[in-house]
Amino acid sequence: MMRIFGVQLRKEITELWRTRKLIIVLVVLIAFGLMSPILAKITPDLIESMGEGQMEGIIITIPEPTKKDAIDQLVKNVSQFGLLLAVLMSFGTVVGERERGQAALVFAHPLPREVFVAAKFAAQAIMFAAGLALGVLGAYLYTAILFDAPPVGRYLALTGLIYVWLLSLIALSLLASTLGRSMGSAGGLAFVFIVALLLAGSFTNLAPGALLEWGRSIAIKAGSSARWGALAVTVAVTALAVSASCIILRRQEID
Amino acid sequence: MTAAIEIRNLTKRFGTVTALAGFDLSVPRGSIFGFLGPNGAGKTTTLRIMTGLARTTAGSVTIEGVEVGRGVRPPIGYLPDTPSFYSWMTAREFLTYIARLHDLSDPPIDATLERVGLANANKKRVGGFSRGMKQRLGLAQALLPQPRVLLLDEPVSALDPAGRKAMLDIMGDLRGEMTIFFSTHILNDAERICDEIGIIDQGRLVIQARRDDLLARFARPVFEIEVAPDDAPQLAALADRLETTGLIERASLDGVRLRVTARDLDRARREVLPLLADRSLVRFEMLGATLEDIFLNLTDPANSRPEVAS
Repeated sequence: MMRIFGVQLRKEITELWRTRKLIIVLVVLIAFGLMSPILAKITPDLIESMGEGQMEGIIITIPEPTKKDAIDQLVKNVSQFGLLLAVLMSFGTVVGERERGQAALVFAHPLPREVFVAAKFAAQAIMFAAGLALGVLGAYLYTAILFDAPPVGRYLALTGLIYVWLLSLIALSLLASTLGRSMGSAGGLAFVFIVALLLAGSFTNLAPGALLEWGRSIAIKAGSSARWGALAVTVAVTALAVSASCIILRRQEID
Repeated sequence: MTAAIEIRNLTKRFGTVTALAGFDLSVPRGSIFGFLGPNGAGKTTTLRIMTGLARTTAGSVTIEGVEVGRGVRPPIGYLPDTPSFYSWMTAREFLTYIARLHDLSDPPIDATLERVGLANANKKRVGGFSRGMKQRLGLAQALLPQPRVLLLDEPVSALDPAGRKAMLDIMGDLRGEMTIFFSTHILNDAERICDEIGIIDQGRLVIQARRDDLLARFARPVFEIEVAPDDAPQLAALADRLETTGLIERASLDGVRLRVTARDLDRARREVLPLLADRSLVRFEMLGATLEDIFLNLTDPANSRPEVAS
């Protein structure tokens, strides 16, 4: 089983490379990583320059930006564009192969369907790990240059929590991709899952979205309480979504 | 000859629609088996069940002693009707991927590509392949693990005449190496290479027999008369005259050719030819039954359905 998983993972990663998805994710996450501290740095100047000559007599006091603003900007960027990327890159993976007929060809060979799903999840996880690592590294370096260097350990904790949150989005999109009978329905389902996940964050601190706030507070030493419950829920949601995808695909008939 | 494929009471229902109505089928080991039927008869559903892509509602399929859907994969190679590949891979990369799935230590990739006529295209991306090339690569991936049973779903239906001939030649070359089970609605192809024929219609197996036995069993006293173009108008009158004599069951006119099915072969031999004495006769031939005749006879709703026979 592990041997076939290795074969399938290799195929998936090669596919992400050849179809340029890997490059897209890396470029977008690195770009937003680099932009976060720069935006934090120049935002006060931008606001000031926009107000020049238009609001005479009004004095706008904008506090000097700090590394806290850079971290806030990073969390905001990654939570928006990371979410979008995770969903867009994952929701078509299973349903696309089924719809195009590639699944019918490969499932006639000794490829267990749970390995097929697990390899897709692992490939996406590796792609986003690489993208997030490079993006966060870029953000860290620019934060250190423009402000001062945040504590490495705290920054790593923030990165880890963002990554766990992204994995839950990938897993839910993969589940939508397995359940959907077409690309359209899979996209719709992924949208519903993600909206439900975001809405859950408004009602409870146990929702995966709480990990972003927790990571932010660790990175800026805000001293807010730990969200171990949210971490447990996020890991459980991820594991359940991947397991459910495996079981559902195993039971499906392939056209 | 022992059976490579045993199908027992194969039943498949999609909601209230019965796609396969519970039939038995036995495919002799080493044979080329033509699985014929009109569109929607249940050919693809049967093949999808045989490959494990779909499940039975009832009944079973056993291939080389392994029951399909019980966890152990039977030794099959499968070509779907329109094989779809990863367009970013080359032919060689795809076969290497398949070889790795099968854990083949020394996969015969070059030999397989050579066999299907893709040796020169092995480094080309599959995305740029023609339909015929994809079909050949589909056959290559099915052959690569050297299966004991090859399952082909309409392998030639979408190909041009040259592609069809090439594919049928490859299939013919495989005779004796493995059991080949292929579905088609192109009857000439089946007649050309099959040893054994099964005809399915509306989810039921109408008949299964050796090709030669089938042709002999359904042989009809059919004559074909061809005259010079100048005499073509008189052929219609001749057809009417033959029908009034009670000599023939049926006559069909196609330009300068008249095809007649005699009621009494001996009487027809004696009496039809003299009627042509004053015509510019080009050809007078007694035809055997074709698979097309048999197929139409057995699947035509106007005809009563015969019992399953073998």
